[in-house]
Amino acid sequence: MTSNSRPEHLARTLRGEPVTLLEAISEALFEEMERDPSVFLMGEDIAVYGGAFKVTRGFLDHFGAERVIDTPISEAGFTGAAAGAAHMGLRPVVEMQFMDFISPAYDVITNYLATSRYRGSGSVPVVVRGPVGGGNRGGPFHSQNVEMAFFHTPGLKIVYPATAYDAKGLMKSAIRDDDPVIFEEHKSLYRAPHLREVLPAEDYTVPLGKARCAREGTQVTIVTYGAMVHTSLEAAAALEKDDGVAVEVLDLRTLLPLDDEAVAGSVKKTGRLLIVHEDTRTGGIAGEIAMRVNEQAFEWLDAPILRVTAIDSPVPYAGGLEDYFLPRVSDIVTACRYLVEY
Amino acid sequence: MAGRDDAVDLYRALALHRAAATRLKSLRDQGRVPAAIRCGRGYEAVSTGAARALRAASDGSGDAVAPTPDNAGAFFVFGGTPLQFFRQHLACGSAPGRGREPGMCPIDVERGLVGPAALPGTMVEVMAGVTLAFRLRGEDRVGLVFSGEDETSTSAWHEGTNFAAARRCPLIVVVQAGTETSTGVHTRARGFAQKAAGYGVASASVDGGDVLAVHRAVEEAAARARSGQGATLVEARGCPVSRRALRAAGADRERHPYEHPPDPAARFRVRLIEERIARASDLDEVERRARAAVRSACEQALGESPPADEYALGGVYDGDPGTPPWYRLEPPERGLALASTT
Repeated sequence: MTSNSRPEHLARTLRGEPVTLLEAISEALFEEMERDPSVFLMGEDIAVYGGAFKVTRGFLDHFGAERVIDTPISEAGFTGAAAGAAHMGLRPVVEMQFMDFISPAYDVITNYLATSRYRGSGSVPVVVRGPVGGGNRGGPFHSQNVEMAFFHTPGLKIVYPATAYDAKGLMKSAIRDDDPVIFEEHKSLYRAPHLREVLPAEDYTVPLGKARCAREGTQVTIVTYGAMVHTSLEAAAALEKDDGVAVEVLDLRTLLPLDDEAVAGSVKKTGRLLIVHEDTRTGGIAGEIAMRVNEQAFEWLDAPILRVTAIDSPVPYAGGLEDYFLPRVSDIVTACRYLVEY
Repeated sequence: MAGRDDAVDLYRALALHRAAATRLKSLRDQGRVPAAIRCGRGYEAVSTGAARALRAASDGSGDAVAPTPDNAGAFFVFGGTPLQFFRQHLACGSAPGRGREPGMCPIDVERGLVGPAALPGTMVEVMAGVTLAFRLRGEDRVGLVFSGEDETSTSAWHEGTNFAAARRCPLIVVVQAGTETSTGVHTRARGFAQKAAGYGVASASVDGGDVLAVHRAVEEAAARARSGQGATLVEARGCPVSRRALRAAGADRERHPYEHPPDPAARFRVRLIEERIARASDLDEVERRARAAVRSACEQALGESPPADEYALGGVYDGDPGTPPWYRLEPPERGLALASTT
């Protein structure tokens, strides 16, 4: 593959230039479609318009309308169609314009896609991807994190990257995986300048189900993912500077399957665990992680397991309300200090 | 239309819609409301013509209407005020939604206003239920739901329409259709009115930019509904083409150059003058008053305070003001009791 064969904006890595998280996802999709003709895309406004966030800009011209398919507003319809195409040997990647809109497809994802292999109907390699998360004044219907609506469904995998490198490598793994994958992309990270990085020019993947140590520490473990990785890293830096506390930050990267070994290993090292997620509190992944640590590393704990999360409400529209709704650096600092002093 | 006064009243409603939509667009251009917000310019005729054909009341005895964000005129006809409109969009603490939700309004049962939801098609289902309640209670009331042409692709739109048809609900479903080109993006049918036969309901197809034609069609549909003949599908052609359709039609733009439909407000004005129903100076005064009312309301809303941050906590459950997370309290609560706090 040469840089001449692809649109200019999708050749940054080939030119050795840094890319944003959004561009990393675009590159992953593009390269997978080049590598494997069975990969194709469906979604609302993804072809002519290039997607609401422009993830697939330029794809239509390069791959044609048979592989970059604009759909009506019909999340249930095109996700179900993706299942059928997957049965026939294709590898569809469907875009939810906002992941909030995945709800009409809940039936086909949980009752059909997720159960297909178990029911003996074979694998359905479908990736359902789209933007999630708050902080953009989108209000209740354009800001949600959807992971826990699907976390309880055996048969699904859930991926939620925090860096450009991981986004590209995880997307490739998701597309190559033979099980259905829900791939969440935080809007605030899409074009965040500080996340721009130079990626390897050669093909690489990041394995699903493996966490990443984003910062090493010895006194408190923060387990987190998505945009909260960066909020947690900011808090960890502040704690080291102001309190001399060494915080380890573990980026889950994949929520399902969870990397139990990495979580328990870090907790056994630090003895204190704080779980941070942007998703709302009740029924959030913190509860599941706390239970697993209780089962696997209880004797190593020196303090109760705590969590910092969004509050239990819909995502509000007004700026002040949304800022209050979301977890803050100061929340994480407060919780870590509590753990250290316990 | 019964006479001159009715016609001028209708123009008054239409002018208020236009003034509010124009001011909202300015706020959007100034970055004071989110860029994605819909202003409703070009929907004046369908909004006011349809709503004025119903019975608005403020004591819970009138008809019900579910406007989309494009249908400010219907909101005003049913008793919503410009001040409420701008408070809601500007996320004021005094807004009906208290800054928690963007868009036009939450539900006002007394006035028969049923607030829009973001997920396309959902309000057709909801209004099927609203009108089912009317029928079950033997009330002489009807409901009307506006939907964009793109919404007709959703499961929710189909299921809601079919439910209303099957249960003979007194519901009027107005599809705000664009041009022939845009219609082709959403359906292979020649028009949305054709779909009515499949549901077994009556239909009408009218020029959505002709306020009197819309009024007449909805008046007839309401009469059918009140006489127990069930739902009607009204296709209002020539509404502004949805952004989605514009995008999807982009590849064919040379073959199908998009032309904005004629300005419905100007059309009605010309007609009123040409048919000697009103003088230009009278209509100028109507427009001036509408702009003044909108300007005053907008200025007041801009001067009002946002909701208190803690307001994000409440309103999730009846009577529950919500509890701040422990790490937001000063000083943070300590000890084993922590486990019982949010």
